[in-house]
Amino acid sequence: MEKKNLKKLIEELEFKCVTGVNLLDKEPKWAYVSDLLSDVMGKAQPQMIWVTSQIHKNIVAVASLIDLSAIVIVNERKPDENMLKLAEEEGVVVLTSDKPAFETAGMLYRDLAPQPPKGKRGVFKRT
Amino acid sequence: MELGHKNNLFVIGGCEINTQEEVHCLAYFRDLQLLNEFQQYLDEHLPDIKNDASLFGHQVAVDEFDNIIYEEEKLLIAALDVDLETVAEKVLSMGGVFIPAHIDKSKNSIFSQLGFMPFGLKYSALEVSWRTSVPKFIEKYPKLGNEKFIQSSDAHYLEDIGKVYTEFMMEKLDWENFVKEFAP
Repeated sequence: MEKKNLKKLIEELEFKCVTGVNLLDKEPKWAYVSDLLSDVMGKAQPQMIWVTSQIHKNIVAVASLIDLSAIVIVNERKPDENMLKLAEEEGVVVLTSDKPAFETAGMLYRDLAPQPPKGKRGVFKRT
Repeated sequence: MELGHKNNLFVIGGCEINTQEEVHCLAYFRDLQLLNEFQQYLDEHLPDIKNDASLFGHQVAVDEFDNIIYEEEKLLIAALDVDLETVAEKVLSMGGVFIPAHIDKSKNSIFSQLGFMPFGLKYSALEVSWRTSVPKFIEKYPKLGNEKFIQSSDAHYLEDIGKVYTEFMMEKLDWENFVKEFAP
């Protein structure tokens, strides 16, 4: 399947880009959903997109530390000025989604998942 | 507080707060007037979710004779709609003592919710739970070696009160001398 960069994902999934507009040619590897920063620090991998409802400014540092490709803030939550300023400084892409985490993650999964092997899923064989 | 006064005990009023990030914090205030003022702030910022007593238990307020005065209908374990820094500033601006709670815990602590100590956060001290001790905690987080700590029980049941505690050497039992303990 064709690899999608952030710009393409934003267009398709109707995210809004709030910081890092000139960094959207990154190709995200996969995504991780969590609201616990300690968990993200331990488990998320570089180049992943992070889906969260946290808007505390520490999320910027975590994204920068692990080199995540973007943060998607869900549920129309509004990040504050301080956090956005820090994200611009650190070169962290912050996107917002007006959908809840489950829907946002579902759309990302659909777009980022490798194609399932043919004939192995969803086929009911009568014996 | 009244009962403490009658029994010659110095009682400091305060509360445990759940911030937007679901970080638990402690706040203490000088007197009932300030406590009431802060209660108004909490009421404004706590979302209107009704408590289901079968799930979360009864939220009752009792008087000095253990009589139930009223039952709080609003769900008190819900999180405020304001962030950690804003709550800290509010408490400190009212002359209160602000302490991030049980920071060693993997649930509802600064470290679990926010990964690390937010840069520039203001606080009076940090609290560790009964599960650790201040020296053990500092051994694990040497960068916090110069911070002020208290250890307390996070008691949610009567029998847990005083499970662990912090001793203060105070010249006089009053608010001024209590606050002095947290001076930088």
